[in-house]
Amino acid sequence: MSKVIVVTSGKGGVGKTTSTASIGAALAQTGKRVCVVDFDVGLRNLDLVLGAERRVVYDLINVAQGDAKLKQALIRDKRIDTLYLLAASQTRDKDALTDEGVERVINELRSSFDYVICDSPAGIERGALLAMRFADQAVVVTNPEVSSVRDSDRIIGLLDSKTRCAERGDRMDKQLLLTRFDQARCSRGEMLSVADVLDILSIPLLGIIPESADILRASNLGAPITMNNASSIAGRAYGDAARRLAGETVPMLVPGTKKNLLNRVFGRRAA
Amino acid sequence: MTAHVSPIQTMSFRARSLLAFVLEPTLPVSEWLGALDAWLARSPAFFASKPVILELAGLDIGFEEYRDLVSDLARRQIRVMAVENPSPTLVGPGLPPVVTGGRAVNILPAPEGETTPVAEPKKLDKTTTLIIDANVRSGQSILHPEGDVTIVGRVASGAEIVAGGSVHVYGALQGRVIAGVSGLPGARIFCREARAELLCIGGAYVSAEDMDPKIDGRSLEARLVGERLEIRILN
Repeated sequence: MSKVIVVTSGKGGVGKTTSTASIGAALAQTGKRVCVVDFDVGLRNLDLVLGAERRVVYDLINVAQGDAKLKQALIRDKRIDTLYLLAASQTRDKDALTDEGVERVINELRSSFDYVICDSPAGIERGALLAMRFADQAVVVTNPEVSSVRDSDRIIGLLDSKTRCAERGDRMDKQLLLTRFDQARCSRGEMLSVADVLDILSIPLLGIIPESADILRASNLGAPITMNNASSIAGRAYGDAARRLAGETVPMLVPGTKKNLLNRVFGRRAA
Repeated sequence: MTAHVSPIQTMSFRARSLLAFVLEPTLPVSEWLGALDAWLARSPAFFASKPVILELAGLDIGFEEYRDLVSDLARRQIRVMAVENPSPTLVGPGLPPVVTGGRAVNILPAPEGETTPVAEPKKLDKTTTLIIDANVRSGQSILHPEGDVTIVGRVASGAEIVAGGSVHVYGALQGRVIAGVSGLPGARIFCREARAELLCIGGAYVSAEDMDPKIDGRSLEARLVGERLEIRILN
């Protein structure tokens, strides 16, 4: 039974593309067939983060409009053979996507993949609404700061009203992925705590990903962190999130709260 | 050579039923406009996108005065869509058409997204309470002019509740609440954790900026006393 998951947030720059790639790669590493789909038409990034930018020949719009077959457009990852990418067009814009076209593509993807992960663009306009429209599940990516939380709240409201799932009367399964979490700033009161965010958004927590320089390095190398540096703190956090998405129960670790003498000594010195 | 045959275009006529607000000017017209201005000062551009009908049954004015009235209203962003029961001299090109057969109605809920407090108080013969057992998310609007609204959950920042009667929020109130739009006196706002952006009962409102900082986060009750909103901290 395949699952279509939308990774959305409302706010831009919180880590949707990074999370789509990292979680997609982690799921594919366990042997599941995963296709990640970039819905950010005109501003595509998923291909860069996966290191496939030179191999994009056909894209989502070509397939949706019938100019190309899905098989021609899918880009297989060279490192994990069950991971595929359907890139977005860079030259067109979001108006080229239609409901019917996207529905056809998603249905075709369902038949050959265990997980179809849709990377939503930022905002609440057509691109974001199309990315969530045919999803069964949602991962709401949020940074622990006020504007991101409010935008995520808005997006949650839209997930409950503008999706096929909502129109059928079902409640879409939504989970929160808290990214760029910085325990030090949270303790100083500069960022919201996990409890604050959960209190406002009231959806179950999928994972907490710490702010990490390793993530940028991984992006630059064109490999998601779960592929490139899976044992780093952020890599392990994404790995745990992927396992929870697949249904496993994994204890939640709040990054930065492990009391470690070395950390405290060096932490103070570095400040 | 290909011949292009254009298909016969069919026109589809549809009927639509709209809700219009009725303004009833009284003599002297300048005084009535003054009262209208005072109302508009509190709610500017209220009529900007709403259809307005003028009830002229009791108005005995000449043609010129009537034309001036219509343009005075237009200057206040009130576009008169039609008139009811005018005297026969008050019709002419460029002036609103006459309509008949309008029914008085209780205000029905507007489509989602529109938030319109009622212009004139309508007497409600049946009030109902709307209970919402979930959080109201940012950007959502709850509109229930027929009675009270009870939210068992939080009202997020950027959300809006518009109720004909009272509003009860058993959770944090971070959005906007407009109560008492039906005009019934005695509408109140209750909440468990006050962080509202705006509290409004009838026409009187207070925004977050003007609220006393000591009510922040407390359980409170807001009610209309005369023309002012009075806030009381509970427990």
